[in-house]
Amino acid sequence: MMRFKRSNNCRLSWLIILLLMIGIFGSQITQVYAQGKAVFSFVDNEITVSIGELIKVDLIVEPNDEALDTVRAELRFSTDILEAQTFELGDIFSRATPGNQIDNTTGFISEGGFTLEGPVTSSGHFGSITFKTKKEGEGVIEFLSTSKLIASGEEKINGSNLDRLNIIVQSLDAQEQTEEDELMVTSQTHPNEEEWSNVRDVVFEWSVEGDSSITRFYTALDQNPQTNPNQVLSANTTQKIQENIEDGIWFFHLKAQKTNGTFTNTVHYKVQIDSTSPNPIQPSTDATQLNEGEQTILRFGTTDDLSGISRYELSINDGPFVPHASPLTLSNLVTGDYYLKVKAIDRAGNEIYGLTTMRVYPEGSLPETVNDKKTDSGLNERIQSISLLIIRILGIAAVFGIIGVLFVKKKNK
Amino acid sequence: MITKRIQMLLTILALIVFPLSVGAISSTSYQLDPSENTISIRHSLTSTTYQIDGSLEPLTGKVTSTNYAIESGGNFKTYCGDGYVDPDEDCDRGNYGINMNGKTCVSEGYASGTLTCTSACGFDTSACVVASGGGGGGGGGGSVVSSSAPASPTVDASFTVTGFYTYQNTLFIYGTIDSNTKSVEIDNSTNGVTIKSGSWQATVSLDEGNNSFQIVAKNSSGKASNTTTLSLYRRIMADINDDKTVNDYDLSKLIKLWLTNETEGDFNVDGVVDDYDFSILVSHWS
Repeated sequence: MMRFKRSNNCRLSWLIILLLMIGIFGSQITQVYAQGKAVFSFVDNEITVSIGELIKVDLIVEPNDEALDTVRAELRFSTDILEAQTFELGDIFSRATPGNQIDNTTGFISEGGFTLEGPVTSSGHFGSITFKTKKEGEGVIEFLSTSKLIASGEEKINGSNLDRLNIIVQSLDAQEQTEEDELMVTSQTHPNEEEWSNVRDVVFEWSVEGDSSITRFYTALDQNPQTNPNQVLSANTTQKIQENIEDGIWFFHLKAQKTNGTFTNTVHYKVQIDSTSPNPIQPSTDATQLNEGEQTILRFGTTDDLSGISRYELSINDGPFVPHASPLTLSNLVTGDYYLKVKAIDRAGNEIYGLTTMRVYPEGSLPETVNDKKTDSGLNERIQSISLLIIRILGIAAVFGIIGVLFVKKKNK
Repeated sequence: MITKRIQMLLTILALIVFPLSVGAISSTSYQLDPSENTISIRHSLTSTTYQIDGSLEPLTGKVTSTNYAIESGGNFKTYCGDGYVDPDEDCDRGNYGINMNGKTCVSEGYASGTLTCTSACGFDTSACVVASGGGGGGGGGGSVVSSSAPASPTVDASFTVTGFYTYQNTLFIYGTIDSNTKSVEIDNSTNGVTIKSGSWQATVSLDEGNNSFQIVAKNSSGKASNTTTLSLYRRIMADINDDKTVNDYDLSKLIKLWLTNETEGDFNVDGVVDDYDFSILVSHWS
């Protein structure tokens, strides 16, 4: 009888602990979104490359019966051997989300896309990240659990299936290094491989160092950083003009064949072209009519689907454009009409404009609005969070108290 | 002969140069929006007289010109027809539609109907319908002080529907009062509250989150009605799923509303969910 009673007490105590744990930590569960079946994946499990090479890593979206409209790939990569250079959207989510970033210090990438063409229901190419290998070694690129695959506002990612890609970087052998130095590609129209340009006609020039006798050149232009070129050009050719190249990241590949039949190393010259304006921009102010002496906040923002937004500039009343970030507080406004024109400029120099206006009246002209002084939502939130903290502390204390009592009882027994 | 030809040539040249030198612009459809792409598509303004007098359209003000003079400072003056509902106006017929300042027949104390704006920027209530059962009226004169408390003021049903929210930081609210009411107080103040033929109205400022207003009607002797409590919820702009952050999940919901007129995604209240609303979402990205 006694044994039965003790066992019941014990069960009751554990039940109380369980309930308390749910009470303490349960509130955190509310922020977790429903999970689904969609996954991100890489094409390969492992890639082996040489130092200094560019590698293009394709990111695949597999909806697995979900109908996706918005996705975000968040990845971590080894910064000691890799340097992320660019991200380019693929063909299934054609528009870039806000908040994208590449951070080579922490090895973090966050790139999102969405589609207005109807939900994506079959697997496809979400986008490509171009990395440059820095030194010999092994590293990894992996999707983080914070990645998102969203359908109509609901999370559909299968968080238990996060793909990873191993990268092995090998050193170049001595012969290859010597040969690589023989060919040099430049471009007067696009001199910096890392910069975006809105010029679609590109001139590539090259030279061969030393007295190597060349019999012919081989070239190619495509979006693969490692193509082996196969278009033949005569030995006396020193430039190639490519006109009307479409927007995107392109690689000009060049190698030469010597009279002894051997080849130089292939040079891959990158050009980044974006001739499209950023997406439309609609600036807005918190108030369109205000009294002199009052202030308002101007907000603006847009996206650019390829090179990304470089900066915003603001012109007030047809004045000069001055760089500004959003949000911007407008104060000390004198009576009058204000004509606020915001220019968004992408990294290739393409622009788009948006406008809004507001009117400032002499002090006291506008009728009063009734202010809600009773509710301070910020204060309410602070009170709520403090209350929650107190409840959690009390709960944890109770749990440890019960565990302590059980321990003492067991010891006494 | 040669002199004559030179004279003729000079005359032709003068005829060509003269209009340019005096800055004459002779076009019946002068395009004020010369280059800037999206603006010219959506918001270009044409004028037969090349005379821009006054102001710009609120919210959608899309006039661009390199020599447009902005009115400000001492010379600044407002006028009917500039798109803004100025303090001495009820409404305004701007270039981009009529600005009714959020008011309707119901807000003006009528039962239903269509409120319109006159060319003098006043309300035309001729198409508003008076509530049935009213009338009677008249009687009058004297200074009879009502001893009974007025009925509690009502709030229009559009503000009390379940799940009501707004993205705006100010909201024009209104409701009805009985004939016994002489003043309406919101949070113990009559400031900003106006009374019109059986109705009250006010513009209230809203904080993000829950807002509560206590509305009381008073008769001429100061006797107060029971309090009507109005709760209004203001979302963070573009926070469609109301989780206190503007992120990918809101973007996903916006896509669902794309090219519809759903108010949930129509942040700039122009009647369509499009790239301009996307831009507003971007500018509030958390």
